[in-house]
Amino acid sequence: MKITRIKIYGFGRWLNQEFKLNDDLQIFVGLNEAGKSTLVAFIVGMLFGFSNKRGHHQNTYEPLNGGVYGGELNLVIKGVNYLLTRKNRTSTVTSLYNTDLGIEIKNANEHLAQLLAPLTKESFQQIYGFSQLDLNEIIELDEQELKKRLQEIGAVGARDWRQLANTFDKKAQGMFAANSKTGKRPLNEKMKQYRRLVKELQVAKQNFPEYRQLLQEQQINEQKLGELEQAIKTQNTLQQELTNLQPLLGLYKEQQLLINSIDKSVAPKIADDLQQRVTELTFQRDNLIEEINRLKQEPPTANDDELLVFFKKHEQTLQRLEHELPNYQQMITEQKILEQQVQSLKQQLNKQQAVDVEQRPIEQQGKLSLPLLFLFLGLVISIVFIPIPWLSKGIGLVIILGSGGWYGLHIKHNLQRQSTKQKLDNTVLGQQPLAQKIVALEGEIGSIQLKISNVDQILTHLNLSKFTFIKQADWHENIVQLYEFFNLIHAKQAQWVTMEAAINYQQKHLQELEQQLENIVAQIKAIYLGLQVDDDEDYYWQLSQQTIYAEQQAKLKVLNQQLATSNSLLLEQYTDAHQLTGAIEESKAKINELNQKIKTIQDQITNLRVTLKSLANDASVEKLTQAVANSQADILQNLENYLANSLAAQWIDQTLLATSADRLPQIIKQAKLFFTELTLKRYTDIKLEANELQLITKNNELLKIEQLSKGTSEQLYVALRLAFVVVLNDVVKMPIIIDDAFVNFDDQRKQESYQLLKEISRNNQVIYVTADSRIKDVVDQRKITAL
Amino acid sequence: MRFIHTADIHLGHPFLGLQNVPEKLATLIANATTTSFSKMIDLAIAEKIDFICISGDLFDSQNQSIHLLDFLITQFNRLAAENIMVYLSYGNHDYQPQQNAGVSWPSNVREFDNSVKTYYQSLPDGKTVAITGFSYGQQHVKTEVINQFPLKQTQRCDFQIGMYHGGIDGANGNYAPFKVSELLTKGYDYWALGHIHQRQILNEVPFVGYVGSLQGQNSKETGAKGFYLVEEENGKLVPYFEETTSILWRTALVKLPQTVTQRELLNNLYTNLVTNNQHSWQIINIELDMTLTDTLLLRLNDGTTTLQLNEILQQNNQYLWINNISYVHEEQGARLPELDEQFWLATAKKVFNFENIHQVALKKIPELFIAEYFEQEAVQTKLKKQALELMQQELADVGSDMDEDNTD
Repeated sequence: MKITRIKIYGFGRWLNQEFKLNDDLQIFVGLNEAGKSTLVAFIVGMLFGFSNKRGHHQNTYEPLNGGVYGGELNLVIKGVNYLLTRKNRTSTVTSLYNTDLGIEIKNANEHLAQLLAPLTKESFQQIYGFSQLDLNEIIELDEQELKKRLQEIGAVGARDWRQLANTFDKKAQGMFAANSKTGKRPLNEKMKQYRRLVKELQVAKQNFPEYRQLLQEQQINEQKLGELEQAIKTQNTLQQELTNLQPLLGLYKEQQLLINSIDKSVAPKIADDLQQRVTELTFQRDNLIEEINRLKQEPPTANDDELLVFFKKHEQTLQRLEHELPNYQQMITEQKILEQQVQSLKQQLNKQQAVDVEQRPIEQQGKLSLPLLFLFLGLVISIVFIPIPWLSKGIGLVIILGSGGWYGLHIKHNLQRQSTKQKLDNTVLGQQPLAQKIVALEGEIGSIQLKISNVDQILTHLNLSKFTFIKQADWHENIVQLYEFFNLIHAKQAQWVTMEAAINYQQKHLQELEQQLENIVAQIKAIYLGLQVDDDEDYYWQLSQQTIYAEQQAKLKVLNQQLATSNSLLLEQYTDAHQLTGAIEESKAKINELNQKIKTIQDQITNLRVTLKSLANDASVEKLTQAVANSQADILQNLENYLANSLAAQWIDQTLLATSADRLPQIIKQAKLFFTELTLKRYTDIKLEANELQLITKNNELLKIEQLSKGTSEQLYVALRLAFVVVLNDVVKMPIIIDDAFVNFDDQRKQESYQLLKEISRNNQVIYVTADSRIKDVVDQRKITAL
Repeated sequence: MRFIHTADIHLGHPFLGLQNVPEKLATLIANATTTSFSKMIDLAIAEKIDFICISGDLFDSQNQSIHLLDFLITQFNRLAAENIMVYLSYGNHDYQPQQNAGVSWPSNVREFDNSVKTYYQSLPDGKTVAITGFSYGQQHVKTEVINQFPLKQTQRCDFQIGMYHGGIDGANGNYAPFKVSELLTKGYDYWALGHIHQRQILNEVPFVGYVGSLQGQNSKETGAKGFYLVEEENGKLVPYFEETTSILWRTALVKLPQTVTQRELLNNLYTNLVTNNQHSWQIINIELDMTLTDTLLLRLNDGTTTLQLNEILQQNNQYLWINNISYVHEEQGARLPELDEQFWLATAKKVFNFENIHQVALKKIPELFIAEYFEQEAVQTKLKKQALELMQQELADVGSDMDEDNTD
C-alpha cells in the first residue's frame, strides 16, 4: 500500500492541511513542534482508526483551532486507488471510495481492515513504525535483552509481548513456586494443607479395618451367644424332661417289667359274655348248692331243739304226763274239792275227811297229728336224700322210727288212761257215806296224792327246771306250769309241724333245686368243655389268669397312658432313679456353666457395642473426605490460574521464538545487506548460530551481539527491522513510517541510513519525518516536503 | 407386589468442585447423601414395600468409613424389622474382589457375587418373584455379562426382575456393556439398571431404565434425584419416581443486560437467582449469557465474582450457593494476533499439552487427581482460552481502565 495524499481537516495543530506524497521516499522536514509526530499519528489514526481511549498518557490530537476532527487519505492498494475519509474522533464517520470506479465502498471499516490485513494498529506500528524511542530503547537494553530483542525482530510486537510474558510470569510466580517443596506461596500453602488433610483422612480411616474387624468379632460373639442360648434352651428342656421323668421312671420300670411278665400265651379266650354266663351259672349253682345245703341243714330236727330232744327222750313219760295232766289238774282240783270236801266233810267229818286227789297227768289228747306225720315222713325222706354217709342216715331213721313208734304207743296209752280216769271219778264221789266218803275221799285224796307224788317223782326225775319249769309248792301252780310247759312243747311241736311242712316243702324245693343244679352243672360243664377247662378250679385259674392278664393289660394301658408323653428312649437310658438324679444334676451343672459363658459373652458384646458406637459416632471421615474434595477443587482452580499465567508467558515466549526463528534466517539474509551497507562494509556477514546472532567483520572476526558497540547495535537493529519489512512484503506491503530516528547517528551513519532508505523506498514507500534539515544535502529535494 | 429400584447412591462420596463452603452448608453437604438414603428407607417402610433392589455403587470403596457402615447397617436393620428384603449388587465403585471380604450385612440383605445368580422371594399374595443380578469383582468388567443371564423361568416365578450395572458402550465398554435388545430377549418384567447418574428410560414395557442417584454430587448431576417405587399394575411393573434430593444441583442460564460495574452485575445476578419460596438448598452453576467488559470477565474468570455473590447470598440467609459462573459468549473471547496466527497456533500445541503442563507445574506435585484433571483435553483447551483472555485483558488494559464509549 502506498499513501499518495494526505488531507487533514483538523488534527492537532493541523487544520485543513493537504500534502501530496511521493510513492517512494517522502521526507517531511520540520522543526520541533512543527507537527511531525502529529502527522505520523494522523496517518496511523486514519489507517486504523482514531484512538478511543482517553487517559493522561494519550494525546488525542484534538484540533487546536477547532474544526472537524479527521481528514482524508488517498491510498493505492494492490493497484487500486482509494479515498479514505474519517471524521470525528469518537463515533467516527468513515467512508471509503474506490476512486478508480468512483464508487463508495460499503462497510468501510471492515473493508479497510481487510485491505490492511493482517495488520492491526499495534502490529503496523510495531513493524512499520520507527522512532527514536525504539532506538533509545535498544541502546538501553542489556545484553540478554538486546539479544532477545534483535532475535525477535521477526516477531511482531515482540517487545510488548515480552513484557506481557514477564507480567504473566511474575503473576504466576507469585502464586506458586512450582519447583519448590517448601515454598510459602498461596498455592504451595494450599498443597501443604491438602496433604495435611489427606494424612488426617488416612489416619481417620485407619480405624476402618479395625472397625470392620470389631464388627466381625461382634457378629461372631452374637453368633456364639445365639448358640449358647440355644444350648441352654436345649439343656433346660432336657433338664425339664429328666425331671419329668423322675416320677415316671418307676412307672416305666413297672411297665417294662409288666411287659416282660405278661404271659402272652394267655390269650383271653374267655369272652365277656361267656364269663358273665359262667358267673351267672356258677352263681346260680353255688346259690343252689348253698340253698340246697342250707335246706338240707336247716330243718332243725327234733334232735336239734333241746326241748324236743328232751321231749323225745322222755316222750313216753311226758306224753303220759301230759295226757294225765288234765287228770291231775282235775285231781288237784278234785283234791282241793275233796280236801274241801274232806275239810267240809272233815269239817263234816272233821267235818268228814279227806280229799282224794287224783292227779291226772295232763295229757294232751294224743291225736295223731297229720302234720307231724308228714313231717316225720319228710324227715325220713330228707334223711334219705341228705348227702350224708348212709350210716348216719340209718341211725337217723332208726331214731325217727323209734320215736315215732314210741310216740304212737304213748298216745294210745294216754287215751286209755283218760277214759279210765273219768270212769273212776264218777264212781268214787257218788257212792260212799261221809266217813267213808271221807275215807273214800281221803283215800281218793291219798291216791291222788300218790299220783301226785308219782308225778312229783317223775318231775323230779325229769328235771324240767331247765325248761322253766320250776317246781312249786302249789301243785295247782305246778300244773299250770306244766300246762305251760306242755303248751310250750306243743307249740314247739306245732312249730315242728310247721317246720316239717316247711321241710317237706323244702325237700320238694330241694329236689327242684337239685334238678336245677344238675341242669346248671351240666351247662357249666359244657362251657368248661368248650373252654377246655377241666373244672371250676381250672376255670377260675384260667379266668384269674385272664383277669390277671386283663389287669396287667389294663395296668399296662394305664402305665402307657401315663407314660404316653414321656420319652421312652430317654427312659431306657436310666436304669434307676439314682442315675436319673445324677443326670439331672449334671444337666443343672451344665446349665450353670452355660449361664456363665453367656454372661461372659454378653459382657463382651456390651463392651464391644460401646466401642463400636463410639467409633461409629465419629463422622470425621466424611467431613475430611469432603474437605479433601473441596481442597482439591480449590487447588485445581488455583493451578488453573497459575497455569493460565505461566503458560501464557510460555506461549508468548515460544511463539516469539517460533516466529523469529522462522523468519530470522530470511531477515538475516536481507539484513546482512543492509547491515553491511550501514556499517560501510565494516561488517560483512550476519550469522545465526545456535539461535544466536553472530557478526562477521570484514576481517572475518566473529563477534557476538554483546561485543558490539552501542552504535553498531543500533545499526544492526535498524538493519534487521528494515529487513523484516522487506521479508514481509510477500505477505503485506505497507509504507515505513520513520519518526525522526537516527538523530543520534553521526553524519556518516546518517548518510548511510539515508542511502539505505533510498534503496528500500524502491520497494516500500518510506515516509520519513525529521527535524534534521541537513537531509536536504543528502536527499533529492523533490522528496522533501517542508512542514 | 411393590418394590424400590435404586442405584448409584455413592455413600461417602464427597461433593466435587466446591470451594470455601460456609460451615452450615458444609454440614448439610456432609449429610446430604445419607439424608437422602434415610428418606428412601422411611418411605419404604411407610409404603410397606416388599423389597429394595440396589443396582450397584451403593458406596465408594475408596471412601468407606465406620460412620457410614454403621449407618447402613442401622438402615438395613430398620428394613429387617419390617421384613423388607434388600437385593444388593456391587458396581464399579464398590466392587468386591472377594466374597465375604466385605461386611456381613443383616440377614435381610441378599448380596450378589461375581457370577450371575437368581434369588426367589415369595410374596404375601402367594406370587413368586425372581431377581437376577451380579456384582463387579474389579473396577472394569469388559465382558457382556448379560449373556450369562438366564431366560425367565415362568414355571418358577410370576415376575422376574433383572439388576444390571453397566453401560451401552458397545464392544469397547469397560462396564459390562450390553444392548437393550439383549435385555429384552430374556423375557423379564423389569430391568433395574445402574451406573448412569441420570434417569433414563431405554424401554417402556417392560421397563428398562436407569434410575439415577439419590442425590447429585457434582455440577453435572443436576435436577431432582431419587428412586423408583415400582407398582404392579395389571400384570405389568410400572415405576413411579420419588424424589429424595437433599441439596439440588442446578445450572442456571442467566441472561442479563449489559453491565458495566461489578456491583451492578452482582445485584442483577442476585435478583435473577433469588426467589421468595426457597427453603431447601441449591448449588448453582451459572452460565452467563451477556456481554461483559474485559475487566468483569477477568473477575469472573478468577473467581472473584463467584466469591462476592456467595457473600451477598449468605449475608441475606439465602439457601443458594454459587459453585461457578461460566461465560457463554465465545465471540468476546480473545483472538490471536492475525499476523502470526499460524505461529501462535503451532506453539499453542506445544504449550497446552499434558507433558508441558507437567513440566511447568506438576513436577513436584505427584497427586493423581491433579494429573488426571490436567490430562483432559477440555481442560487444556480451557487453559488456552484463559491464557488468551489474560493476554487480551492485559493488552486492552494498556493505558486505561474504562472504555470511553460507555460514558456515564
